Amino acid sequence: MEEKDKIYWKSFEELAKDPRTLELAQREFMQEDDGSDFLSLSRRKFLKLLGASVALATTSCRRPVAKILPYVKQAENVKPGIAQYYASTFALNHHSYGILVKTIEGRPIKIEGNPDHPLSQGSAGTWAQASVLELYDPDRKRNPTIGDHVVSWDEWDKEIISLLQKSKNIRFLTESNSSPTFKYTLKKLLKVLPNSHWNPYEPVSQERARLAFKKAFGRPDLPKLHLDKAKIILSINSDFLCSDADSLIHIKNWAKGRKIRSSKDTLNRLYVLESFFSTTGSNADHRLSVKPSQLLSFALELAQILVTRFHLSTDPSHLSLLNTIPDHSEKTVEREFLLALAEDLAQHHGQSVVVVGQQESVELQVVGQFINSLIGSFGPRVGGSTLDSKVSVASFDNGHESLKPLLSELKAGKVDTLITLGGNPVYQLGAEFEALMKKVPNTIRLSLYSDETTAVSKYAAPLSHFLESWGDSRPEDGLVSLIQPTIQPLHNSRSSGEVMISWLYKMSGKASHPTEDWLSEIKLYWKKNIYAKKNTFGSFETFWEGALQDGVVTETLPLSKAFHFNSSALSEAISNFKKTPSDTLELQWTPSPALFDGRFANGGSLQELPDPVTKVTWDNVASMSAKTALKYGLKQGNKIKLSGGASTVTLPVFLQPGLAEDVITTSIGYGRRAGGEIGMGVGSNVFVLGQAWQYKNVQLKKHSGQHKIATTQTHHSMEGRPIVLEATLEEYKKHPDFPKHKIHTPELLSLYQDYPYTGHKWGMAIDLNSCVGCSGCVVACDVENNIPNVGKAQVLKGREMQWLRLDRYYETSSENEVKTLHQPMLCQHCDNAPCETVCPVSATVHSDEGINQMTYNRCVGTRYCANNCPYKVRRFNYFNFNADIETPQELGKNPSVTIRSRGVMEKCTFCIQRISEGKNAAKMRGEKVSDGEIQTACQQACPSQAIVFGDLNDPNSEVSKLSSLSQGYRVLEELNVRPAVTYLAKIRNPHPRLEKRVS
Amino acid sequence: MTFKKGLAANFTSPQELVRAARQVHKLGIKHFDVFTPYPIHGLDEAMEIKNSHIPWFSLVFGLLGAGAGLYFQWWTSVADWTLNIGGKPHFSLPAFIPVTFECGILFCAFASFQNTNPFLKKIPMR
Amino acid sequence: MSAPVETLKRPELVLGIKDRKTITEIIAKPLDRIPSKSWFLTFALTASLMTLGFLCIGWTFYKGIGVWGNNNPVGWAFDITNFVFWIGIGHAGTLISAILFLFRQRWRTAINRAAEAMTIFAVICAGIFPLIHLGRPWFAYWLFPLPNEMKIWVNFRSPLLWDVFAVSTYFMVSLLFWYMGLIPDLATLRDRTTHPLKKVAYSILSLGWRSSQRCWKQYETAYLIFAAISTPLVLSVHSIVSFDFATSIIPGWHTTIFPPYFVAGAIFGGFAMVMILLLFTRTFFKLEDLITLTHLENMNKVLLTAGMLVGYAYLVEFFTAWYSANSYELFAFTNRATGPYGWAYWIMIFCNVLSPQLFWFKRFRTSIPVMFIVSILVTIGMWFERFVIIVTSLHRDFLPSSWDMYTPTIFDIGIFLGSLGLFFTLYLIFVRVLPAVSISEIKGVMHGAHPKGEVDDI
Repeated sequence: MEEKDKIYWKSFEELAKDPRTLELAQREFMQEDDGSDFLSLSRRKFLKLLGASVALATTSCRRPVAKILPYVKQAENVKPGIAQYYASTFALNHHSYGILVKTIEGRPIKIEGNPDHPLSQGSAGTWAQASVLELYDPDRKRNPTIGDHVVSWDEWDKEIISLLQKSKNIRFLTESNSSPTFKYTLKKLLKVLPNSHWNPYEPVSQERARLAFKKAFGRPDLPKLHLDKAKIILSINSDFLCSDADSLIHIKNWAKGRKIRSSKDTLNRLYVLESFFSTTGSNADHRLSVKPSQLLSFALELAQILVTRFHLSTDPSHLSLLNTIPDHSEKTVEREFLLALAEDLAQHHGQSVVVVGQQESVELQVVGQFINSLIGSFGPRVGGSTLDSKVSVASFDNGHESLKPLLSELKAGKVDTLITLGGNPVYQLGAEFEALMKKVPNTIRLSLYSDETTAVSKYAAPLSHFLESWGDSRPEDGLVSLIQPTIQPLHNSRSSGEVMISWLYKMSGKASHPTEDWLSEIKLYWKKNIYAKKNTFGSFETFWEGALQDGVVTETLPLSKAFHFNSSALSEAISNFKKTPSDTLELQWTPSPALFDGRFANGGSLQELPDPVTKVTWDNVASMSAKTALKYGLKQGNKIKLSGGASTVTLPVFLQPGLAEDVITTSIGYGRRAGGEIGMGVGSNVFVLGQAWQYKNVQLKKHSGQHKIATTQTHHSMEGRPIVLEATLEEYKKHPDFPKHKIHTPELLSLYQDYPYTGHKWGMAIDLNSCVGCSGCVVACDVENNIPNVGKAQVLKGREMQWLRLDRYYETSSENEVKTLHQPMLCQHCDNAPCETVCPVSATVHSDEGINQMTYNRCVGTRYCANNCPYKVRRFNYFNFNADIETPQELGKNPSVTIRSRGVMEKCTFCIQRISEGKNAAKMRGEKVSDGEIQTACQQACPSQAIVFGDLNDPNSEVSKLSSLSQGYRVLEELNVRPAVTYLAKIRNPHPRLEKRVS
Repeated sequence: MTFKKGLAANFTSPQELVRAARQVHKLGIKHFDVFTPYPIHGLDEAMEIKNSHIPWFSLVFGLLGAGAGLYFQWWTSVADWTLNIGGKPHFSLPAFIPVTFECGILFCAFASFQNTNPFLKKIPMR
Repeated sequence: MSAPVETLKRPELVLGIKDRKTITEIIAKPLDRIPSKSWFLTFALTASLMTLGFLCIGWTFYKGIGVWGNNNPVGWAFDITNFVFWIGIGHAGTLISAILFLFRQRWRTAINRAAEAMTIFAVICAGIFPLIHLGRPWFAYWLFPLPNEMKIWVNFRSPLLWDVFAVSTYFMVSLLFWYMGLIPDLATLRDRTTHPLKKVAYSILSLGWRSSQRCWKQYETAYLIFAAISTPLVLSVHSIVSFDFATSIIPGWHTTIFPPYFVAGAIFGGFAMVMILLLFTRTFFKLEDLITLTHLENMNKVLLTAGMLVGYAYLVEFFTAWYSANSYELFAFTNRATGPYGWAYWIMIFCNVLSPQLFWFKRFRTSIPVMFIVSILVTIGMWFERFVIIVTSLHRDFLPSSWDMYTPTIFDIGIFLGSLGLFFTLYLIFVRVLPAVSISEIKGVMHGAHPKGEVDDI
């Protein structure tokens, strides 16, 4: 019997269709609904939304229809409760990668990597994972406004168009956008509008890198980095393993060189020279922490060693130029480091690469590229060079330098209309820009949130989230991908493309249907520029359908470029190089691994995501070494005022090992004044100091008061306990089974007979060697399992709820040298689970597939299980942390996972909902579950594929193979709790000479 | 139970009381009682009151309680609904001892009290 | 060979009173008159504390356990500390009435009633905590083996479930034991009161007791059985409470010495609390002739012994930790003494091990102010002992990554104060409505109470 034949009725009157009863029944759903405030989402609107989403989901490969269907009409292709996946693209700054959007009944609930997209290969990073929460953020801007008045889009457009047509000087200030169609349409618009100009701006810009490349090679294109091809990697202030916009693919490629499966395997070697403590630095085989002002001298000295000792350059001018560089005296730590590094780089010619942070000075980047040209990073090399001479990644002149013309125009009062599209210039450029903007007669704002820039703009309209809109992106040469909507816009919003296209149409007097017009614009562009060059025989529609399904299209690559280093760039860099006195206090910024440049500040999950290195949540802090703190008489949590010039910023002191003396580091993205309740007032905005990223001669003043810093980890040493086991590659080759020698475990006996696990026996293997600590898994777990955020006050009390945490331990052998260990820690699903035995109400028991299960409904909350858990992975709902779910956040919850209420214990379930789903799917096929078919959320997100889940009873499964590797061990194995999670010990690859020095 | 008259006497010292009680008992009078503000040593021997059966009663109930406790634990953990809890066997005897013991004590205490209850003196349990 | 052996003269247990009637009068006096102003003042204080406690509990029920300071590594803190503290205190009463009874310690007669009442009240206070420490206290009944819609029975392997059985059995048996001891006294009160309401109440409560020798015979047998089963019971209950910790795997908890150590601690803490209560009761109700210095001195001797037992346990723990060569275990104990909660540890050592050492001297043993102060110190020390065991073991266990600190909130403190308030309120009511000293038993230990003049045998 078909579903639609069933008619549900509540009373006989209703069945008889008595009009009065029907009216009464309807009144139940009736509410004032002017569409202005989504906060009071009525049930009716909710149903509409659901219907709309379903309608959209069915047609998402075609044009989304504007019709709203009630859900009682079963939409075709949608099976309630069955997830559907749509390929789309997550774009951030200049970079983007392919994602799959998991939707259930038309609601996007999870972002996963698109396995077909070469830049994600099935993984998704922190920000992409969290973007689904951003979609449902109740603080998003909901309606177009003029001043304080809510208006309709038509009114708004009308006003704006008349304004634009009257304006004499129009300036577009946008965030970076790698979308080709966006650029194409914007250019069309610029042509139509009189005297208009476009400035992209990002605080995290590619400007300096482009300039450096222009100087070094005469071309600003940034070649693609292939870390998988590198044996020796030097990172200079670059956090390519975490907070860079394109870190996902770099983590993946770097981790490929860190996999050890037998004692014959080799490892890449990572040297890090940096002035802050990055996640990349935490994964280094050798890390040297120096002051920001000294980086250039180190780089030059390295170049000098490479030229003088290893004769990598035949150009005599190089030698004479570099001979002027003062070098460190022999036998110092710094000199040894550089010598070993140079030796490695020279020996691995063509298989090495130097990565310089894109925010570094042009001189440093030039020297970095000089070294790259010396060590053959640009190839040619069989199998591909570490820096791709063919493929350039998207980059823009989007920094502060490029903005200067606009700023002077603004100062001169030349601009009468300023359109800020995305980004948040008032927050990022500070009070000066705010004052300038206030002087502009017409300010038009398009943004996701009502942020700082919106506050000073007269005309403001909400942008659609990328999950609600069409778009495309070209992150690098030869690769273009599509963004498709997976839900009808939740609010009265439009995407930037829709806004532009409706202006264009309306200005030419045509009627406009923004969504459709924008889609046809994209299609038109694709037909002309991508389809035409593809030489496919099928029709454009077939091509388009295919592109939508795959999410990505490859294009023919440009010809190989020659990278000939321009010696004058080196002489310029050296002439600009002055050995600065090293006794001043210096400040170094980094992008926040959680909030990037502040655009994600309203994401609770991200605010609560511990920094991979400091483990600080809900704050940016002034990190400094204990020595520096002592020098200035500071203690952890003291407030300090830092000034670099006119402005000052107040930050709390955070003691961080592994930083050079007189260096303070902090992250950008905090101290938002508007743009959502969550992000407002968290941390301090360091942009008030300027845009320089590095400041010398910083004045430090102790400020009264104490700041509470919420960290998820308060103790940083392993106390000599065998928790994260590690060895050097050399040691491992000698003793492949070294973990067995590190933990002396007597034969573990039991009084009782073991339970037989005859069917599946789920287990996990975690490779500590490839885990970089990027925390993508933590956010994936948060989203998949509806894990609540608890807020700073609760984190301070130690009540964070993350089921999966990344433990980070330091080992210090000397003041400067800090080794870092990352360890993902989650429920170990012990066979002899200590938590189960002590639960008085049998709320946590073992399944016959070896999973430690938690029955929330049965839990009374004694917390005994958490006390008795040696791994402390159980999380207790001290309050009803879900009480503040605000419409439309509930739409984003995973319907397969219970929302836990107050007073119950929760913990990792190995994504039991995914296991059931996988088993059901296999059962429907009539087969056994195949290996890799069921992936936990953390495993799926992990870019380095450090987490492998599967059936331990299947000897051919990957997890079984990994678990039986000689470097595998189980944490606290000696307790005889028999965990189901095997860790593969960390194996470092130090330079033999440097390692000796340490020991 | 046919005589209708009784006799009461008051004694000022325990020695006299005990002597009198012994005498009365020797005279073959069965239905007599002695009322004292506290139990006086030697009085029950003098009156030749038989030993109470309470200890046996308590013992039986105590064992019954312990048995019931153990059986209940077995029934719930093994017979009615088995669960793998921490890899322990369904019948985890060492873990079941405390409850068994407490059940025994509880039953024993109830039995002793019930049996002492003066209200229930007339009930044939005595 | 028949040289006359001079026996030491046993101290008199009842001083100055020759008349049995006087005994009844003295003991029953507080029940007959309107309470004094000082009683009302004290009652007002304790009742306010109790109200404060209940308000804090109410707020906890409303908001969640989060209003307390408990967090992820420290899942238990004040809640279970208070539970074990009160359960420990609750052990003295039954111990005095049962174990001292079996050991023929006739000096127990003057103190057992108050001690047993204290047991009941302490267990009531203790019983509150397992209930309110639950995340979802409205489902507390799920801890009982009741059939339910989930078709899941309780887990009999959990020490918490053993607690449920042990504490409820203990409460039940102690209550019956206490009530049984009260029956003859209730009958005495029934017989002498003229107040019609009291007459009815006492009549019902005394269950028709006639003081017949035939009843006494049954009564004494049952009393002996109660004493005999209460003795292992009292030992088992605190052993089982200690299993909450001993059967877990957390370093600092996972210790085989815990059962005897906890029992010794319970005796220690309980006796100190009995001492505090008796000193008050004795002074306020002028019972110096019944609760004599001899009684108090005996109590102090027990305190000294128990204190040393506890001190021995503290030492052995360290020895075992060192001898085990288990780094986690060793760390747990080093951390106790030298870690961030070291101050709590040293308070515990000072109060529990050092302060009772004063009782080696008769001068201090018989000095009311000294014994009062020491008893208070011991009570504080015993609270800290539980705090130290629970919090210091939890806050730093196996993985240093999850180490954290615990800080109590005003609700933690409020509920603890509230439990003190409840305890003393109940006690204050008790001394007003029931005889605080056993009338019949005191009469039995008076000079010349038995035909042969014996006092010390049963």
